Amino acid sequence: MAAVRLSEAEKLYIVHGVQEDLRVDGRGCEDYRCAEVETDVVSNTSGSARVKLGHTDILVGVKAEMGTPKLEKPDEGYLEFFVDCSANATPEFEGRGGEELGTEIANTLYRIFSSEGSVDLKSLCINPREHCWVLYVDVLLLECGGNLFDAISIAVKAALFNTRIPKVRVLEDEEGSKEIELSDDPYDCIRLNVDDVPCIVTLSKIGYRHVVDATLQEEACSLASLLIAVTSKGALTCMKKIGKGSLDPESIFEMMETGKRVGKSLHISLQKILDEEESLGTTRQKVGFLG
Amino acid sequence: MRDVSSGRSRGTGTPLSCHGPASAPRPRGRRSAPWGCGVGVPAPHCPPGDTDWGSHHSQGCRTGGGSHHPRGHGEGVPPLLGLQSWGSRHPPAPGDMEWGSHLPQGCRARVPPPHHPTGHGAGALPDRALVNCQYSMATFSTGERKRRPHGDRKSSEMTLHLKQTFEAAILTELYPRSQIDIYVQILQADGGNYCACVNAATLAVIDAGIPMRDYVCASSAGFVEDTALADLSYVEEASGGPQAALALLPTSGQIALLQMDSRLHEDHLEAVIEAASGACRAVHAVLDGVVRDHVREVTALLGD
Repeated sequence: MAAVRLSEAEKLYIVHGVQEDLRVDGRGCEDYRCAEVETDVVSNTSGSARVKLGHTDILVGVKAEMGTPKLEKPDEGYLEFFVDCSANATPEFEGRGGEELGTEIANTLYRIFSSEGSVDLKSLCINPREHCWVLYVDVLLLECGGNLFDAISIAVKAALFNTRIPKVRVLEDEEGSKEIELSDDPYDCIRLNVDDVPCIVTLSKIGYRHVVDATLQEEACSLASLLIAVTSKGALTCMKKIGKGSLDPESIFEMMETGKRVGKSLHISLQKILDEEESLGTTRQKVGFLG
Repeated sequence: MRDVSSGRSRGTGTPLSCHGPASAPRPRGRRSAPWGCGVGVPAPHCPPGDTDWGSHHSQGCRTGGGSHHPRGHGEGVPPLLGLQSWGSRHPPAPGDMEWGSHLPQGCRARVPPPHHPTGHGAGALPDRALVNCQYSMATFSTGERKRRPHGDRKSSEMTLHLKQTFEAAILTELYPRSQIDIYVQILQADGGNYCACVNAATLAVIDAGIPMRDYVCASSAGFVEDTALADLSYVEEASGGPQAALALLPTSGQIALLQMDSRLHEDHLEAVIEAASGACRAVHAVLDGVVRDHVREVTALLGD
């Protein structure tokens, strides 16, 4: 992640503040920064979303294309993730610099979505063993301001909610060859059910306490973080510890409890925003990815 | 002078120096250190008297490409659909511009402050700054999803063109032994990628406070059925006719980059260049208006 240099005095300041449940910007340990979520920002895609969490800026585009189902799961479609850390975010990402981080994030996304039931993959199947929808989820990191994983997972969920996959019909010839016909109505499409899509909550351990949604400065003070993927019902689908420090098993359990609590409320707020946007429909004022 | 130990972002309400283009006197201000220069690290390798880290505000303007409107007849100078400029985001980095409309073409440019040359590339030049560009396209920017590895042929070519264009415009003699980076990202492609990049990067360089000879405005132009067209959309480019890209320094009328594909009779060349120049001047008017509004706004905020 982008490195920020802090003096010892600043680190102490942050650590002591966190012990008192008071962070540098006035938040409590379990508060998220003000987040802006907007969907349908890129017109070339089947679904897109942009999330701004403090200084972190993520743009996700989902494109639905037809492909062949995987051999071991012939009656399901699948998701492919690709994370692009653009040089716009930090000059360290110039050229191939951002590839390592991008691969790490993409692998985490694959693991989270590999759990059964996060997305209904059977609805993406057109013809078992022959045709299915492949959803290419492309994440673009526009700005790095701490807490990338959370912002990315929120953006992915919003983009999947916004995805509209055209309805297709399979016509069978006398010879048995199948033809796929796209429906004429451009608004005739299937939507994905994202109720069970998990969101990542990153808990960073600072001193004796842990904080949710760390900024770059707070990440520099924390030695270890726990990433957990929580669904809206509070179920944990994935857990990962990152960072070079070590965590006590008790802290891990505490962090898990906090994560579940925070994750549930995150899902509620996110779903509210998405439903609100949806209900506004075309009358919505679009800020777009340039805002 | 910059507070050496402070690295915290100051949050809202700290508009800092604003920059006009070229060599307007710049009020200095304190600001949170943007990335690239680190916290409290004093400005190395920048010539005395002219260092500034770029304004704290970023701004962009939105215009539409011609693709929304049917061509009709005539030159087809792009109707500029809507001009919106927005102020204050506080990017951790200065010089961040976004250019493009909501729908057809969208491009984003970022210019960090001039700094010590990083490892790759030629290394420091003793008498001027090195201009380092990077062009990248998002995978979902085109109609067809295409994963573009960094350093592929098209990006390298675009990067080279951008570098050439901006070396002609930026006063690199003022920053010896430094490097100026220009990072451009295409978020949505609908024709005229190079031109959108140049326009966005111009605003970004202005916002970063790096002096330039003039605005650099670019536009593409083509020739279809005996008519010169300006600002081609993707559909028009893909139709296979001759197309030219022109980057112009509008006030002096100097051409920074001229590139043409396909075959065109030389009798028509003038018409095509005229169409492109006309479009560039229109773009210049838009950019100028946006920059002046921004400067006005920032000066008002500073309370002078």
